Amino acid sequence: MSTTEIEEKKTIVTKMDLLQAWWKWCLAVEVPVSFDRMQALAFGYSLSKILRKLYQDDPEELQEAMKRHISMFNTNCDWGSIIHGITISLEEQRALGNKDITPEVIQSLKIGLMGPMAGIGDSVDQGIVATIPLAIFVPMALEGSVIAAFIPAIIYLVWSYGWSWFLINKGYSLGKNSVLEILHSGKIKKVIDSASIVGLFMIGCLSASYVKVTTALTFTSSTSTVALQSILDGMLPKFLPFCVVMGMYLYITKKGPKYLRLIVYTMLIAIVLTFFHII
Amino acid sequence: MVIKAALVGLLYWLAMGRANYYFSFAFRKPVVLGVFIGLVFGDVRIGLLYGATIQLMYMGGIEAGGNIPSDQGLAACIAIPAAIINNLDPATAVVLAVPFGVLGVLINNVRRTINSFYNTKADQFVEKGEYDKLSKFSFLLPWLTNGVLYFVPVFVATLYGPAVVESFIDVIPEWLMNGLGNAGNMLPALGFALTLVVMGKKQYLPFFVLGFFLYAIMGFSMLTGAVLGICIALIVSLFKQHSEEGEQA
Repeated sequence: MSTTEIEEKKTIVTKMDLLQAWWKWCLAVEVPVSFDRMQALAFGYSLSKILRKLYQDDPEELQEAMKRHISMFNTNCDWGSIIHGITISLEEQRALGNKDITPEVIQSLKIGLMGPMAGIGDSVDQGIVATIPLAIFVPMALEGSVIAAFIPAIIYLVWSYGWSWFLINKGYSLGKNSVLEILHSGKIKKVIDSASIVGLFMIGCLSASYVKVTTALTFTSSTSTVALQSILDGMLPKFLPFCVVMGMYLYITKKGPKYLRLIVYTMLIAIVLTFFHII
Repeated sequence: MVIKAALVGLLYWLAMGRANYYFSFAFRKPVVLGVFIGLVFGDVRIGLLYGATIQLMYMGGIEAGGNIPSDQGLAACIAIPAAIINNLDPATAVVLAVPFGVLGVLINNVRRTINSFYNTKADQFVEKGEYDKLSKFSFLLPWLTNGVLYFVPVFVATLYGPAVVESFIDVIPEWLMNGLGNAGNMLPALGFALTLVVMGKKQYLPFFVLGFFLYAIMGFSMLTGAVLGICIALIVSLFKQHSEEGEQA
């Protein structure tokens, strides 16, 4: 215990390093996004300078660290910054010789946090910060106010830059002071469990909100015409969008991450179904 | 006209090239782009009017998991110049904007596919220990690729003007347009499915189902959803705690 206390006081990462990591993340986050690894490269790019500083005497550790931080990553850009903060502080602890912090711990923290951060972040950022000001100011812009056209953008910018800078710092100091303690007490599993539940719940809400499929099929009997969609709605609302999400989920779990193929299939199926007036 | 077209192309690159994500996210709103496109064509007032009208269609467009449901930037950058040149009424400008919003999703998908190549390249350089090259493949090259992908269609569309835009829309049959629209509505599912896979734990899938159908029935705000989700998570951990204490006793 006493050794960790001494180690915790040592730091390699400066405020300037954090600032650079934050800036690189903001700059690159959505630029190298691909279907298979999402924001992976942006994460690695953001941390690369700090990692090289931390592991400058140990090329093998450095390469391992580089590899683990260009693996699949995807989260909300500003809320996700807390993950960078925590990861940086964990890598720092590891570089300082605390071998309790294994690569698995770092990876599972990253993966455990990115989903919940995305779920909460996307809904707060885009559901509230980006949307409500638009609802207020676009009508004024329609009347001809140029200033009103810019206010929602400015609100969003101030919020996202400020909040992400705050969170990367918060994550770094949290990681440094309490992540070890939390690890020993088993709290982290609880936190990740709870966060996964919130994340999955939110993905459910978002899916129901943004995936839209309805069928145009109707049945005609001698007396009346019944739309299949209204029958489905009576049984289970949004049943078709649910099938689409679950279908894709099963496809990915069974066939592996072949996203492009999945997109092409989806488009072809949608076009064919539309052609035959099924959807 | 070439200069104007180039400027609109650059605006679209700024909006969708995503260098500095927060900035580009704020900049790509049709209501903002409308002001700048208006500036390019010498009439801020009319640009703003078109932009704000198109914006009304995209008020709640969440890009969950980074999947754009519809590209409002492309919708604005192609429809607004065409509308200004042809002196269209705002409602017609909106009709013009919708299909391009869908096409923009395609550009985004092409971009992500090309980026897979940069991912592989970056892996190779990390393998060799050449970490300096990482920044090139993480930012510079993908960003320049974006430049080509995003600049060219808008440049061409603005340059060859509304005639091409119109005939392009005429050429595409209605069923195909509707089909693309339906596909655009289904594709966000991929982002969600992907997140489900990443979060991994099969035994937690019921929480996804619960969230889905609660929202389907009640249609609350996403913040309400977050509050409900947190409460459910807390209740679950409460039960867990109790059962653990029970085991110990």
